[in-house]
Amino acid sequence: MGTKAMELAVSNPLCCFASRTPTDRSPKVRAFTVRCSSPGAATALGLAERPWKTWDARLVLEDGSIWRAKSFGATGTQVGEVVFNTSLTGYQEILTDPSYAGQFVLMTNPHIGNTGVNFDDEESRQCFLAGLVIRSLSISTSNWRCAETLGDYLAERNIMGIYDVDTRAITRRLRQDGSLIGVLSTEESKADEELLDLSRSWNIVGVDLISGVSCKTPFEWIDKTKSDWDFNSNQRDGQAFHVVAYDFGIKHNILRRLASYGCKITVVPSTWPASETLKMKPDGVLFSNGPGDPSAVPYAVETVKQILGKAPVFGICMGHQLLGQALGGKTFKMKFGHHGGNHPVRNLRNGHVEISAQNHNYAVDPASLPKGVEVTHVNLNDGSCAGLAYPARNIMSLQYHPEASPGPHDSDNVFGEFIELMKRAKQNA
Amino acid sequence: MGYCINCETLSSKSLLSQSSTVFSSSKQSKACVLFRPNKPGCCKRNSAAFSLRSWQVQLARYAEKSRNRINSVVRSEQQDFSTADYSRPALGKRTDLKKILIIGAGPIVIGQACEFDYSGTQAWKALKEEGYDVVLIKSNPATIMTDPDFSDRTYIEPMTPELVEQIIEQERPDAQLPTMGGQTALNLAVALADSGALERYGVELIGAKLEAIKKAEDRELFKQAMKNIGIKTPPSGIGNTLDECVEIAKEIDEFPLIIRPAYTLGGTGGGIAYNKEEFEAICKNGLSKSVTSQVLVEKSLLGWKEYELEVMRDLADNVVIICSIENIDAMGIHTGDSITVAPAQTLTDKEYQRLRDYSIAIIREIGVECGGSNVQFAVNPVDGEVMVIEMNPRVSRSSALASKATGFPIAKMAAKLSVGYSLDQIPNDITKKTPASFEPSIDYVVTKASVSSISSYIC
Repeated sequence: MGTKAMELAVSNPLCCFASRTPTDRSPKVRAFTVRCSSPGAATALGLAERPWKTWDARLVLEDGSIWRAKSFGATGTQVGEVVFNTSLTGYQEILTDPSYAGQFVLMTNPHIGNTGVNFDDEESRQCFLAGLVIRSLSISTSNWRCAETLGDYLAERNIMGIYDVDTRAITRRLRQDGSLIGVLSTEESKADEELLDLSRSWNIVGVDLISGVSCKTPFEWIDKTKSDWDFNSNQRDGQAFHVVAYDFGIKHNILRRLASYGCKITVVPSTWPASETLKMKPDGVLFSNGPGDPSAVPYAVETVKQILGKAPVFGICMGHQLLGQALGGKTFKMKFGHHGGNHPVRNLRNGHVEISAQNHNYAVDPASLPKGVEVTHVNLNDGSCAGLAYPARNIMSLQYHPEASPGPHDSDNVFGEFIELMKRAKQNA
Repeated sequence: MGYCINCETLSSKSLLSQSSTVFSSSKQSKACVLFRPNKPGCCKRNSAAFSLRSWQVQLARYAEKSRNRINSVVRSEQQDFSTADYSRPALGKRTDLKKILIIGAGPIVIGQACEFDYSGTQAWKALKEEGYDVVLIKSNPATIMTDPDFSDRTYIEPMTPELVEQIIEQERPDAQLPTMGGQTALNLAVALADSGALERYGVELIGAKLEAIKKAEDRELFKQAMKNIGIKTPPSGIGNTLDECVEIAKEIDEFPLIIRPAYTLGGTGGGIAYNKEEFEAICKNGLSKSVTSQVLVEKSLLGWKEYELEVMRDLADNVVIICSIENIDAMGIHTGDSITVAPAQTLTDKEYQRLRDYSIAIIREIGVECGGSNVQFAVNPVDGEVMVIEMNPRVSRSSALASKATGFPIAKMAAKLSVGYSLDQIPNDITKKTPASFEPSIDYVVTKASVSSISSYIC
């Protein structure tokens, strides 16, 4: 039987492709037609097209390399910085994280789309990233919360995605050369050189990406964490603190965590004047995460400077970098940044190692900080500064994401520390 | 006893004279059968071990040491947060241990031999690297672990508490590492501890303490522990009569139910009931088959998604998840037989982090102080309800898969953690530069499929 089938295949190698026409649908060969994407072309023997697409998108990097891939989601041409993310889960949170504005996210985890997309896991009101680069797009979904497939979701939100690209090779290149600017295009009319020129003429350094992702008017945060996903809900004493959160591209989970710790939160846009904030008489001010270069937003640094010392302050990610600058320190661009959910961080105050979710391309140089500012957390992979505190002025900040989503919950206690900070400041006032 | 005092002459003699009985000791009253000629320095230490020692004193020393260690951790946690103290908890290699006994996995049960041989060999290498004397006991000679070139001493013996006690008496190890040889080794450790042998000879259990092993292994204790931390386990009850069984079924209020009679061979008389009629029939049968007329009625999780997490914890209470494994074959098929993939593929981040939080809570509640554990979860595919099935406070078969899948050598790390290191003091096995306190992130998917030789069924 087996040999007979082989003979058949050898004598008529196109039998399985030709059988896609409805008239010739023998059940034996139907298995071959699962992933056909361009039907109806196979006519003359020898001139048949492949039943699947080979490539219809290109990723051109500024170093001159061209990666052919298959597209999903939206079509068109996009330029952005390519960064890799090592998270194994949480692609939906990554897609909706405003910190990725202007960046192509390359997932090192090869299978993306397995769990589809659901309504609970959004981290902001829309997708801000430039595009998604993955190894393999799941052809089916398996999850009870799945509402939509990843491809449909991206197409609706006009985000480009490519798959079947050697993500490992690109990651190696990024690790070696640092983050690269890339152009993603599905337009065949554009020549490779044209795309390469585009990538070389664009730069992310010094670009203010925050104003594009921040909310436009202040609002109260009322969304509650669903009880299913709330964790660490003990140790609350019911005292409510009013926190003003500056939205530089805030992830909703920061707000959810603060709300879960009993805070009343007002979210304000990035350009909201410090005087207005102080008029609200907040118990604490939070500077959120956000995309891009902290040096590109001097107005935000100015705001931070004016608030420092007048209210307890907590900075996360971009907020941490802005605090660093406001305190007189310097920030610098890292080679390829930290993006992923598995970075070990040592909490120097108690010696514990916390596994953290990180997403940043810039870091604060601790040597440039004034006396009195202490480094509280250190990234164990490269020794970079991951957290600061200035107890004399009620300041604390973290370079990584204690709110997780996606990522481990190891550092969730810092929200409790922020509450403590506000409590102490209130008592002393 | 006389054999070991003069190690060099004896070992060569014994090998020559007993070449036919190298792997069995039936003729010998003493357990030492196969060991390689030792270095002269080693002999001295061995002979010293047989002189009379006051073990009482030694025990007191251990107690003091462990108290100090615990205190040091507590102290560091109570540090005043306003003054930055950059010191870490005072951990590091223990110097009070010299000789460590590793218990192997015992006889070959289908699919069990190679995984535990792998973990045992890794543990041996890790301890040797740290300069400890390692004594090995295992009943299966056909493994890498029992290669004569490996341990300082290898005993190939039936793995009974009596024989292991004799070996302990002869070798006088300072500590015993029971977490490398699967269930067999763990059971043996419990038996030795219960009989008082470990205390008698001043042998400390490292890797997993007796209390933790019991808490994880005993169904009721485990259920209670999970209740304490608010994690669900499948509802169940024990019935002695049919009425009692029906009462339990009413309480669980959901079919299918699984019925397991107590003390029957190979689960005779048990089964899964999908409705009331089936339930009563199986219960009747089960009650009659059981020697004690007792059956366990439990909610069946048949068809639920099955996940495993490999967890590691060190004495400084750092916990990392090495790997998540998803069984493609759902609940109802043993993990060992299932096709499994690593990392887990069909969990969103929120769901995965929930399992991660649970695993960490479980390893802390059970009290595995240092080393690896394996936690198994069932997740309802319809509404995502999570239940914990079991927890192994040891290196398990899945650990071997997780090690191979991620490049994180769980057994090696577990062995190093058991002698006092913390995760961040051990270098990452792959990068060599970064610490081992990280969670491997991989850019590939590993699939395991069990291979069953057809011939073993036919023959």
